[in-house]
Amino acid sequence: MSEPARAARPALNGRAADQGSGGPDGALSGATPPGGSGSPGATAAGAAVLDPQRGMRAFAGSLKYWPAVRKEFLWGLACVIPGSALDLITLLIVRDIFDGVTTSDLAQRMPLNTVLGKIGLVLLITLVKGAAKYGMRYWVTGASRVFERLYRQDLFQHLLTLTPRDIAHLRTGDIMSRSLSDIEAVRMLLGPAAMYNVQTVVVMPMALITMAFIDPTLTALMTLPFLGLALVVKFAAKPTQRWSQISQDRIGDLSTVAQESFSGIRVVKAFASEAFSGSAFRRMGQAFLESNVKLATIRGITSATINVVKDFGMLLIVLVGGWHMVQGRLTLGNFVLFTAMLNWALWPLIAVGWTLGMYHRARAGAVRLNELFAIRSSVQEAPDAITPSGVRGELEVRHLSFAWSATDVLVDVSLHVPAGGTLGITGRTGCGKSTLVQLLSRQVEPPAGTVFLDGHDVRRLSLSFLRRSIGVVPQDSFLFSESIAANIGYAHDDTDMDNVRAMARTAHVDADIEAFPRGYDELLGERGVTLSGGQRQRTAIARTLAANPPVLILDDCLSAVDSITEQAILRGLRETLKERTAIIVSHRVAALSLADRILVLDEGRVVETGTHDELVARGGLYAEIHERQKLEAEIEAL
Amino acid sequence: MSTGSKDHHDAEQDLGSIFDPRLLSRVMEFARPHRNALLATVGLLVIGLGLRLAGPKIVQLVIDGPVKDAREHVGDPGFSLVGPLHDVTRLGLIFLVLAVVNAGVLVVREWLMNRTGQQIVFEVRNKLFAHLLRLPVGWYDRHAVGWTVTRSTSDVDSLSELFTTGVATLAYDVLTIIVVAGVLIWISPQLAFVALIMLPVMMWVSFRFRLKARVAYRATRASIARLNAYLQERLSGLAVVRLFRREEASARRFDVLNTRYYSDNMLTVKHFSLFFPTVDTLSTTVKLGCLGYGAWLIVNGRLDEGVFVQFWLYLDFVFEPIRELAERYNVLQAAMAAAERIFGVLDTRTEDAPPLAIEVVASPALFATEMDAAMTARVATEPEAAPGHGAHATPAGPAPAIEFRHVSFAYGGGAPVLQDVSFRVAPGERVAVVGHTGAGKTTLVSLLCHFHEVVQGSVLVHGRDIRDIPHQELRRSIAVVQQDVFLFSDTIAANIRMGQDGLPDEAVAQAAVAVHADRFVRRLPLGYATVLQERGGNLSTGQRQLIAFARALAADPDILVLDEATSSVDSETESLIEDATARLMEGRTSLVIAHRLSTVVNADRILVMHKGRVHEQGTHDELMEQHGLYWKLYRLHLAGATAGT
Repeated sequence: MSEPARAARPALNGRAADQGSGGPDGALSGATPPGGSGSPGATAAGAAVLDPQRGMRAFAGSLKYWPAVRKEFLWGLACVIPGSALDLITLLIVRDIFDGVTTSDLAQRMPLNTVLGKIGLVLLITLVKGAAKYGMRYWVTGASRVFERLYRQDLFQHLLTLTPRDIAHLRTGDIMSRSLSDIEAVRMLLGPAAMYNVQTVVVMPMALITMAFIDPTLTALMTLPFLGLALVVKFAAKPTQRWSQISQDRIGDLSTVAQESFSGIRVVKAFASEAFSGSAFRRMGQAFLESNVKLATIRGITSATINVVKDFGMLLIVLVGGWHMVQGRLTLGNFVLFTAMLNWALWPLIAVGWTLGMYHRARAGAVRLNELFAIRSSVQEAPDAITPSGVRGELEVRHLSFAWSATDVLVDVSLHVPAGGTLGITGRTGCGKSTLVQLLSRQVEPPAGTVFLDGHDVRRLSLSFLRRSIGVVPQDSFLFSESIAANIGYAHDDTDMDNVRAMARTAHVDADIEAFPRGYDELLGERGVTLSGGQRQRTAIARTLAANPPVLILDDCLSAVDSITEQAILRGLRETLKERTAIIVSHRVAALSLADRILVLDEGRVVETGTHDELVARGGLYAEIHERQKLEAEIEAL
Repeated sequence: MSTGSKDHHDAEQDLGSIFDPRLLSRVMEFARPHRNALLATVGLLVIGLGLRLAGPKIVQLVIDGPVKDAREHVGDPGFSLVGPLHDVTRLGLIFLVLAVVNAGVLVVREWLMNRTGQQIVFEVRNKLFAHLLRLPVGWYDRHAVGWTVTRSTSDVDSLSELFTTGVATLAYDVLTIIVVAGVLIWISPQLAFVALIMLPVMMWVSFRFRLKARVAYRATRASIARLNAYLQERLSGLAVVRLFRREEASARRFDVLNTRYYSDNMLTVKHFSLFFPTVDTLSTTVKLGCLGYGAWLIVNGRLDEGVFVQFWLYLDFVFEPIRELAERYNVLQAAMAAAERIFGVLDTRTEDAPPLAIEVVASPALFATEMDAAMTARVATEPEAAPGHGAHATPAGPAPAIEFRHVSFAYGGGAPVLQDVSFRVAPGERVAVVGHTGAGKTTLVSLLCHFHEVVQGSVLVHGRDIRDIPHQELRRSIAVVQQDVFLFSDTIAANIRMGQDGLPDEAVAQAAVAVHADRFVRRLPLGYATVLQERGGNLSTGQRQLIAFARALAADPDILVLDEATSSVDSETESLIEDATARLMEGRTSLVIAHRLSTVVNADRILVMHKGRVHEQGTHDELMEQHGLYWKLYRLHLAGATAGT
């Protein structure tokens, strides 16, 4: 449960950075922030994750999006130069006005008309400058958003080439947060971070050179607070990151305790131990509080230090600037210019320190994304895969043995289903039925020379041909939260309603669907109706039937349907099965009655084969299962 | 899904209003114990503001003092620059002192503000959590665990904004604007007029932009939620996507959603790209207006140069908070929305709240059905509760330890799970309950523990209606071992103790020894101090069972309720569990939902449940002779033992 807290944080950071919660843009609006919450040092924190890929190499994968964003990005960065130059010009004109009206030499005093003219000029400059700054933000951030879109699209398309097993070791939430937060982190580096850094590179020399021309001594002294600030931001970054990580871990712990107590509420209550759970929660809460206070203290000290550094800069201006004014070496206008320069040059410097934190986060994100991109599908299409012109539907398995990480699941399984035939497969839970189905349909890669469709090794067939030829109704009848019609017609781009209705009828789910207020247009899932297990299974059957596959595999897909409905569905399927090859996997004897032959698996081996009657007569495992289900039916009927 | 719930949470933010006085006063109630600290924070804010204002004043003193002196007297004979230079130095030192004090104030203020805020939030969180644990089990059936966790983590965090940065900073910003505006007017009313005339315009622009940005931001949240939901679903249904060859179609759809998210973001980007230059232009215009007018005043000798510089520097003090004001408002609104949801939970009646004390219930609809059902049931059973009136007149002698009288029950208005169930368990008796899946066995346990209210009839423990027994007292007298053993990620000792702090280590070990758990626990490197993984993931199924037994034994209950696990364990563990079950039942009234043949056969009496009713009862031998349902179940069990599916 630590996921939501973790995911929310970068998103908030991203927002703040995009929208620039601090950082005056204009030369004339350089105000001292009130310190505390808004200071960039405070936002520098992000989830710092140790990563093995050092340096910039982690970003190699994202370089391919560069051509798509290059133009906008460079235009945006180009806007930084006129924007900053005009900032400087504005400051200089204001300086002239100050000097002009305060000069002690009355003859040289600036006429009011000139003052007004200069003010008009500055107004004009401000408008042009606004346009430049708009361009800078819009293009750079826009480019970063394009980058993000392309990156995410690629990630999704990559994920679609994988099989569920390839990503089974990752939690869905983990992949989601990579798609969301990690891409966002990389984007931030390209967008706002790049923008602020370029701004600093442009502004700092402009500011220092201008100041040096006016008052070299004061300028030399002023570099001290600038350097001091860079150091403060740099040193604060690490503990801030560390403690915000600790803080996030602790809110994760807190969530875990909460989640456990709520999930186990029956046990908590049965043992009347509410107070005990409460005390664990309190303890975790206390730890979280302490780390938060620690974090706040670090941030407080950082922002106080930034303030001290600024005040020190101001002190230098007051003291040294004051002396120089007394000595007549500095005009009042230049004095005012220096106070403005302090803010103008200081903010970009703070931003650089702040982007350091962003860099670490982006790199960690890029590493995690690279991990995802590095996963290769375990089912790969052969380079010379063939696509036969038609399908007869003959399935054969020859001496197939298969193991999941050294555990044998199937041992020397052979079977043959002639075109148009129906084979039943049964066995206890864990006997290897489902794995066999996955191998037949190549959801899991079978060893070469074991599984054949129409005499072709399935590994030699193109995936699209194979999937078109073999339709599987999976055990887990997963439906999408779209309309029922869209779900049944899932195999096709356009929904053929006649086909959808016909297949729903065959799967005996038509009456259920028509009973919904919006019928086939009813949405499934959170925002729509909830189907019962049996309804889901029947809808899933209709979905596969609607694809009209020449070979049909039903993987235990009637388990949640009651026996009467089951019979009805089986009767309906009888017709459709006539035209195709079918494999019916079930642990229910009734479902197997449609099969020409039945194969019984036990611990991965074929232990019995024959017709229903033969197997019952034999008195083996099949007969036992049959007996048991008869008893259950009797109890059910009471 | 985490992101999904987060976005859901965002969508809920519209609820809160800062101007809801009832909500505000309830929120402030949390802060009351800390008002001294909060007042101190405000005091420090005021001091900080004063110190900041002093900076430009010193600049003014430098310009209008020594600098002016020097300029006016520079040609005078006998005039030395040493005096004015010293004056500058003196003023500089004052500035230094003020800066140092300011830094100190800032550190203390940040620390105090955050500590107090965190402390309040800590208390709110604990209060909320304690309240949640006292809500009836039925409430948990209706609310997803994720939703509940979000209330006690993210929402409380949102609320914390209110006490840490929110109120204090907003107050500071407003105070700054007012004070600085006052100072500006005091310095020069005419100049202040020029500066402040634009103030409302700037505020309006700022609020308008933030509002627009908020709408745009919300659109991005909605589109990212859709994108995430799509991604999550395709990941969960990856097998289906691939089986139906829908990779390309899915990629196209993803592209549509992804592009939508992009364009929504670009709208936000546009707003913000426009906002900063606009505010910048406005504030520059104001400053230029002041500069022009100020120049005229200076030229005409009606304003000192230093005073104008001071004024000039103060202008930024006003512009900065105006920029931020609207953003602070958004934060506060989010916090208030969180507060509303928190109070929604706090106002939900706990299970031990007196049933007739009608308070303002936040979501009465949620609770109505359960309470109504309980009330109806109570009315319905009142006459029966009187001695002699019931169908089963209480016989003389000790009251049965457990009695169900004509109990019917259904979950939330659904199909009946139990219908007219009546039975008694005498003190010390061992009763086994058997039945096919869905017969209603587990519901018996829930009702006995008073997790749910019966729809009709009554449940009595030692002759007392459980509705008259406080929950804690009832549940302390009953120990339940659930089928699906729930262990907490705490130490093994804590899992056995379950909050009985007074229970000595020896007693914990003793309980474990009695149920054969001691042997494997001692083999662990940390023994009883071993911290279990989530749900006891580092123990085997059988070991988890034994820990649950030890837990029940440590509670030393009068009544034992055991819902036997169906999961198979190896034969050695099986015999340990069989033996432990017998130990556990020794000398106790026990009600066992039995799956083990040994438990059933050894029971004093067997209740056979079928489709929500008591179908048969008697001893094993009696029931076998009847050749009824029990006989069939028994045969099924034997069949399952060889061909279990």
